[in-house]
Order: sequence, then C-alpha cells, then structure tokens
Amino acid sequence: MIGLPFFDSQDAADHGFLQYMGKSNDGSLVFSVGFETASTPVIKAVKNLLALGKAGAVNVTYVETREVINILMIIGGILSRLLGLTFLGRPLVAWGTQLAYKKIVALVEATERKIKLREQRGQ
Amino acid sequence: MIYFYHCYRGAHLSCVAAALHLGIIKPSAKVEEILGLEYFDVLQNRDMGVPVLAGYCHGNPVCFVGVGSGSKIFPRFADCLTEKLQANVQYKAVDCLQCINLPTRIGGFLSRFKGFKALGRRLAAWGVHKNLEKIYALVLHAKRS
Repeated sequence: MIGLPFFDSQDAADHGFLQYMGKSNDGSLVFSVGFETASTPVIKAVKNLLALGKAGAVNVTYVETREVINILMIIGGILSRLLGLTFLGRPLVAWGTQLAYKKIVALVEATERKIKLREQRGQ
Repeated sequence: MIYFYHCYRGAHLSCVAAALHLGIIKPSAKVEEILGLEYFDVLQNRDMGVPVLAGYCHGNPVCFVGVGSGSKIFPRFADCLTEKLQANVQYKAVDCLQCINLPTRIGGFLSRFKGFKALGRRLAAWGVHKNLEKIYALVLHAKRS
C-alpha cells in the first residue's frame, strides 16, 4: 500500500488538483483529488459552474471517500502531512487504510454498480 | 465570461464584491448601504456551493458563492476539471476571502445565532466597509484581466 503512487504524498498545495490514476475496466478515466474538509461545497459549486457555463452533458461521477476514514488515518495523516513526521505517520495511515480496506472495496464496487445501472438506464 | 466571487459562506465578502461589480453599491458606500443589500448576511452554511446569480454585467453572469474552507481548492479543481473535460466554460473565480478582517469574521460568526443576529450583521457590515477599497480593487482586477 505504501508503494502505491501518490499514497501519503500530497501536501496542502496539491489539494484540488486531479491526479490521474488510470483507466477502469470499462474504459473510464479514474482520478483522485484532495478536498480537505470542503468536498461538499466545492463539488457543488463546480457542478453549478459547469451547468451555468452550459458545458453540456458531462459524464463525471464524484465519489466521496471521507466516509471510510478512521481515527488511525486521521492521526497518521496529521503526523505525516501536517507535522512532517512521515516515519511515524505513514505506517499509521497504512494501518488505518488496511483496517478500512473492506469498506473502500465496498465503496468502489457500489460506485461501479451505480455507473453500470446509469449506463443501462441511459441506453 | 462567468464571474464567480467566492468566500466562506457567500454571505458577506463575495456578496458585496458582486454588488460592487454590478454597480449596485459604490466603493464609497456607507455601512447602511451594505446592510441594505438584498443578499447581505443571508446565505447559510447549508447554502454553500450554491451560487447566487447577482445580475449581468455586459451580458456576463455575475455570481457569488460560499465554498467553505475550499477557497484555494475550488479554482484549482474547477480549472483541472474543465481542462480534462475540455469543457468550453469561460469563467473567472475570484477569492474574496483574502479581504476578510477580524470584525467580519466575528460578525459573520455571531450573526448565525438568533440573539446576536443584529449585532453580528452590523459588525460584519462594518468590517466589510473598512475593507471596501480592497474588495473593489479585487473586482477591478477581475474585470480587467
């Protein structure tokens, strides 16, 4: 997990920038992005901006991953990213992520199901 | 071009910036005029992310919106996403939070509580009034660039 690209590597200055992670099985582009605690208003504002700018049909699925965060990830993240104590924080974040792993997998599977269902309805 | 003025709640700084942009108030406006703005101290935390269309300037929509603590993140994400989607959206995101001062901060906080609404509103308006020139400079910069 620690060897994953971008794992525990972002600073505050990187938040808001899309990080390309790769392509999914159905050919969709997958990105990750950090929002600190402002994910809800920022996503809502950007959606409204695109609608106001008549950007047309934009096929973007926003997935909030904050719901799977646990205390170990929070403490580890603060130690590693905020205080620069990577040697202490990173293993904690990795441990927390390992504990939350099933929840993360469930979230991804639920998202895939949602996209599939939406595509079927759209056809 | 869509002008997107944003601050924490969209209730004070960005609302006044949009009013300045549209000429609803002048940079020499008094505290009473700021308090008289239709949307001053109206938006709440639950409204964050929902832009208010304040009007049109030469056919361009002028909006204000609250983005919580995401004032730095919002323009980055909007730029990235529009670029990746190749969406032809012409916009200017203006961060008004840089014009915040202590009275506006305290006033904005107090105005959320029932018994302190009037006091909070006035304090926030006074704070905004003190920084009106700075907000106007931001508006002029957005208009020119």
